[in-house]
Amino acid sequence: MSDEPLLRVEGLKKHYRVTKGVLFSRTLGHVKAVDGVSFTLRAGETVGLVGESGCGKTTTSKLILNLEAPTEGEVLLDGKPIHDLDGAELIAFRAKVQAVFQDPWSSLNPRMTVGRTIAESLIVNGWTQERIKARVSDLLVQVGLRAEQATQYPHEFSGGQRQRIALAAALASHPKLIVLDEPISALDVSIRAQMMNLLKDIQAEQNVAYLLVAHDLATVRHMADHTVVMYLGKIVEQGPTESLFRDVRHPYTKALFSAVLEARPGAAADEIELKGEVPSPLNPPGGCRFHPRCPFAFDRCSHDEPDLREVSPGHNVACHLYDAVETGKTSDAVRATSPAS
Amino acid sequence: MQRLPWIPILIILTIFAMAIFAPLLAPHDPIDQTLKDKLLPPFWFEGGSTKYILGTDAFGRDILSRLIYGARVSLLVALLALTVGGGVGLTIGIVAGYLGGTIETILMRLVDAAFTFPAILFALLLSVTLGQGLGTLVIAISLLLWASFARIIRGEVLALKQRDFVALAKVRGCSTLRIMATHILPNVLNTFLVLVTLNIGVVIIAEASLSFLGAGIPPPTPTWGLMVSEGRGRIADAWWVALIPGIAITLLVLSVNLFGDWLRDRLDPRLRQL
Repeated sequence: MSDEPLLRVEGLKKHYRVTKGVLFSRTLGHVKAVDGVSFTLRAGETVGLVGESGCGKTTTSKLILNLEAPTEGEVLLDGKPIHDLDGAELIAFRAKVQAVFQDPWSSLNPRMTVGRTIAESLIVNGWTQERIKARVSDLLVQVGLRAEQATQYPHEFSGGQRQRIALAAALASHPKLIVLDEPISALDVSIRAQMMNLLKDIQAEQNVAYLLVAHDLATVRHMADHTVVMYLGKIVEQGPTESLFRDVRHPYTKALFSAVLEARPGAAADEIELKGEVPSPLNPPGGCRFHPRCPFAFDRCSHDEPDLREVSPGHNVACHLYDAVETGKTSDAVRATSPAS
Repeated sequence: MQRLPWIPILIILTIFAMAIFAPLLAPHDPIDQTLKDKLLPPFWFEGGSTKYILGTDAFGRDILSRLIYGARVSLLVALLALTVGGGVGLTIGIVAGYLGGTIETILMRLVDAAFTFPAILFALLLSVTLGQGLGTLVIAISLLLWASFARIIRGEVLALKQRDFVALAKVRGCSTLRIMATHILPNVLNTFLVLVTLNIGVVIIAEASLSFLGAGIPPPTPTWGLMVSEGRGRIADAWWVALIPGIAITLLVLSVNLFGDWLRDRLDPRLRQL
């Protein structure tokens, strides 16, 4: 594998201006939906992006899909910045980066046959009718539907089938990256595993990379090679999924993990329960953004913003508790709450 | 799923046939005055004659013949005005709703301006400057219609563009024009169709009002609206002069509405039975 990753996100920021008044509007402030996010994604790999609602996961995915322009920072695909593409280059980019969204009821045009929806990116790229027809049939079979269902309309399918149609449409142009924004959370529990396995099979066959946006940790653990945890527009912890799940470091990530119901009741002894709401991103707390809700917060957390630092190979945490690691001391409080793997 | 609305379709077809084959169907010349036969009631009433099946008006003109010829003008005006006014409104609604921003602000302020403008007054102005006739009438009624079409369609588009399939179309590489044509337009067509059927009545009434004021088709050319207006003053003693074209308008508007309802359901793939 070459050194240049497929996708490189560098210092990505998206701030939304909040205004008051219609004619003589004044700026009240900026919602910092995404505030300095950097990560990379290699070809054929899956990165899981987790965090609670409003942490900037979806905004990040919209920026990567080039549906919105960033306030600052860059997204590079194969080393090329994506936000100043236009014309033929933009169409070429669109063919390489595709998406599947959460709601299967809203992601298919009700007035378009399923075949036409799947063919959309091929039509844009100027394929001939016969090639399109063959490709659509292949894709339908690949996602577990029948080729002759191409002439049917979305309302004739169930939620799970619709999501597979959405996946077929995303796969049509042989993309290198598919952004999966909560691809299974709207599905019945009974068909989630089916969908996840389908996604993994397709990845194994076609070497497509996934950016998996999710709030469900089990999904991420099952799917992702690398996990990124976001809180209020910033990355608080990231690392290889296996090592991150084995050795959770950031107090916020720990809280996320302890919110997951254990298969064995009583097994989770050291639970961290978060109090209060996520602070408004319009006016985020100074210092570490997590400090008002963090059970381990100390003085420094309220005025000094922590940077990501490596705690084990590839595993980065943005937390002052690990400043000590560098100087050789280990924080007892943190060690004590590390969940047993 | 509703059954095919046979009766409305039959009525609409009959009226269309009347318009197309008017010279073959009309028993008399619609503008030929026979003053000795004026204000005769329909034939089944006392004093009526089978020579004038639906009676005659104040100038002794055959009402049936005028009704048949009048269908031509009324349908033509409705068709043209709805195509022009509705089409302009649909386009502006889609463009304003989908593009948003400054373009939307400008277009929607134009719509507001159009609503405040007295359409009848403008029509009178047009008939003075352009002269009376079909063209003036169509322009005047289109100006009356486009704003309400634009406003309703825009609202629909605003809701529609939040749906994921619109964002996904962009991800697939569709241009703005393609998204508006293949994703937005087909999804507002229902609303458009319902608006068209609801506005046929408005157009026919508008045509009648304008003709009455002398800004429409100049007499003696018969139009349904004009016939109602002419009979209005004699409603007490010669009710048929106004009532018969009135019934014709009601039947047409009602039939088109019923047909429109059926068509709306038929075009909605969710309600289509397979």
